Amino acid sequence: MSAQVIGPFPGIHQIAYVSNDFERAIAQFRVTHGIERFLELRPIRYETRDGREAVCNVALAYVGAAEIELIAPLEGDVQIYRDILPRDGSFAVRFHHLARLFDTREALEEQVAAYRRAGRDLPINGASPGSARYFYADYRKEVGHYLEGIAYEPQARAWLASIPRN
Amino acid sequence: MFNFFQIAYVVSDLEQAMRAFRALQGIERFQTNRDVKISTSAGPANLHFALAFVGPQQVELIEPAGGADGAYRDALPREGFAMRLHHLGHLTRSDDEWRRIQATVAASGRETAVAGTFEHEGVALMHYLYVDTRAELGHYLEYMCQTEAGRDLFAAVPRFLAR
Repeated sequence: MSAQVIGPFPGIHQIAYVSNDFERAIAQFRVTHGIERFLELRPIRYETRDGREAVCNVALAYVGAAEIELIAPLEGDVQIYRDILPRDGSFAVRFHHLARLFDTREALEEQVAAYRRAGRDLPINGASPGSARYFYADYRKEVGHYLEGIAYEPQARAWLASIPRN
Repeated sequence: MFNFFQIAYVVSDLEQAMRAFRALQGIERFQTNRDVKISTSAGPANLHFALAFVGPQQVELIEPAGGADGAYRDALPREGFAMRLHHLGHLTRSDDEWRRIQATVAASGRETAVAGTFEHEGVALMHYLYVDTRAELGHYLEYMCQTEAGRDLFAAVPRFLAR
C-alpha cells in the first residue's frame, strides 16, 4: 500500500452517527446496541477548519472494541452533519463516518500531507490544543461517507479510558 | 453487546468495486463467491460476494445479481457505478448468545430482512440474520453465529494488516 492511500478500514476504531434529537437517539442506541451509558459532552466546541468552529452535543460509548459516537449539531460550522439529516426536521439517526486512530500526530500529519497531494477534500482539518489532532476526509463519492482520522495527545489517552464500556 | 466484526458495502459491480478498494484501501485480494443464494423476506436472492480482512475487521462487498435482491439493490442508484454502506455485522460463536439475539429480534417486532444458514453437505456452518434498522440508523445490522463445524469458514479469506 502506498503512503497515499489509507482507507476507512484499517484499524476502524469508531462508528459515528448524526442525529437531530440527542436524547431520543441515545434512547434508541440503548435498544439497538444495548448501550446503557454514554460519556456525554454537552456541548463541545471544536475547530473544523480555517478558523471555523462547530458546536455539537456528542456522546461516546464502547460496544466491544468499537466506539460509537453520536453527534447532534447545534450551531456554527455544522453543515457537514446536517447535510444527511431530513430537511423536514423529522427525527433521524444517520450513519456519518468511520474513524481510525493514528498512533502519533506525526503519522496523522503524513496522511494529511498525502491527502493534500492527492487532492482529497478535508472538510474538517483541525486540532483541540492539548487533546487531539483530527481530520475528516471526504469519501462520499466512493463509498457514501466520510473517514475521520484522529491522533490523541498522550495526556488525552487517560480521558479515552473514561468512555463507558457496554 | 454489539461485537463489530464486519463492514459491508453493496456495490453495483463486484469487479469494479474490488479494483476501487485495491486503489483506495490497499486491499490487494478478496475471496470471491459468485451466485450465492440468500434467503430474504421477499424470497431467494442471487448475490456475488467478496471478502477480505483488514486487521480484525472483515470487509464484505455484495453485488445484487438477481432474484429477490431488493434488500441489497434498494441501497444503490438505478444507474451508474456505486458503493454504499449496507450493514455492520456482529459475530458470535456462542449458541446461547445466538438464541438471545433471535429472541431479542423477535420481541422487537422489527422486520428480519434476510435470514438463513450457510451449509455444506447438509451441515450448518453459520447462521445469519439481518435486522432492518434503516429507519433508526440508516443501515441494516447483521448478526452471525459461526457453528463449531463452521469454525474454518473464513480461513481462506485474505488478511491484511491494519496500518
